[in-house]
Amino acid sequence: MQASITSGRELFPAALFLWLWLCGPPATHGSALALEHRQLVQAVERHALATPYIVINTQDNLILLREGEQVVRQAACATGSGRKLEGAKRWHRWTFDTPKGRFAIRRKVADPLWTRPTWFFVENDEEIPIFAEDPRRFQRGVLGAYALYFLKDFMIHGTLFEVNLGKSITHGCIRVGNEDLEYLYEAVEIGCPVFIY
Amino acid sequence: MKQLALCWALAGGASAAAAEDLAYINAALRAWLQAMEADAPYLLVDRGADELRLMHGKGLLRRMPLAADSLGARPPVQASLAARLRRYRPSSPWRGLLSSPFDWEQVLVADAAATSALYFASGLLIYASPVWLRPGAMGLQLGAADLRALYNACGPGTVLVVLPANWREGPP
Repeated sequence: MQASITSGRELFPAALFLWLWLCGPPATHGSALALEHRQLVQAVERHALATPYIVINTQDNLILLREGEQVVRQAACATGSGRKLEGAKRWHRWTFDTPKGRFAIRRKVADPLWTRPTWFFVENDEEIPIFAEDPRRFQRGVLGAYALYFLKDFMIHGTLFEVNLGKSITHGCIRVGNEDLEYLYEAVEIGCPVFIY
Repeated sequence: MKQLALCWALAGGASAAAAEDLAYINAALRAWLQAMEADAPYLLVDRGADELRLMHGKGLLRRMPLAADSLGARPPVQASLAARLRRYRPSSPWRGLLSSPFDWEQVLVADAAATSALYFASGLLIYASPVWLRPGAMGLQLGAADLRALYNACGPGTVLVVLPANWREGPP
């Protein structure tokens, strides 16, 4: 009897310590962590993009329209060739890359008019028109039925040569097949995010 | 009494481990939110789904299944890209992998080769070719096409966030 009382007395501080450890501060700490975890998961899930967005993969020359994590439409496209061009003037230097990063659709144009940039004349060894209003600067029909501008000089547009889709061949714009272009034109609004990698 | 104390001790140990797991998951989620807020591409490893994702803010750019995952139980939740390695360099484990500025191929050639890899500051390596396999070293193996796309899409400083398998529901 005496022995069991002694061992009980010896065990009491250890048991008290364990009880405090289990029910005291760690429990409070654990519930605070659980609460933070719930809040963080909610914050992460809240962060899904609310609108559809365009993803352009310049590696495989693919364009995707996504809604959240779902792919709504996927199509072959053509992107920048990375080719360099130099003209006679010191400032006539171009690298035909598709810009990478996050952009947004700024303008939607039906039956777009192409304003030929200076590189077009250098590339084709033609005389460069001095005035911006020169009729030689403008051509209709080559950009397809629609153009979706995501930068001042860069757009998603159609092509006369769908055989070149899936290749890195353009001067920086994104060329899409005419059927897919029409779908994109109808599906996306101004401000639609465009991610290019 | 002794048995009861042992039970308490075991339960206490389990609860402490669960709290540590939860703290680790929370740190990973905080790192993800931080990466999401920055307007730059980043990589997200979802160990529950066995996939690596290329993300930009809230947008999902590319999903890549993991062929092998040797990150261990609790790898660092966040790391930044230290170097894009074009060629395999024998090293065991991965140390001194950074190439010299006189490595013409590394400096001049932009695209990935079959044995290219991405080396992160935490020591983690993302690769496609099995020549990079090292026992006990942190690594993620991808398909060759995925690695090539990542190699070109990620610049120095690109953030990688590792989510544990049970990040959504928490520890059991």
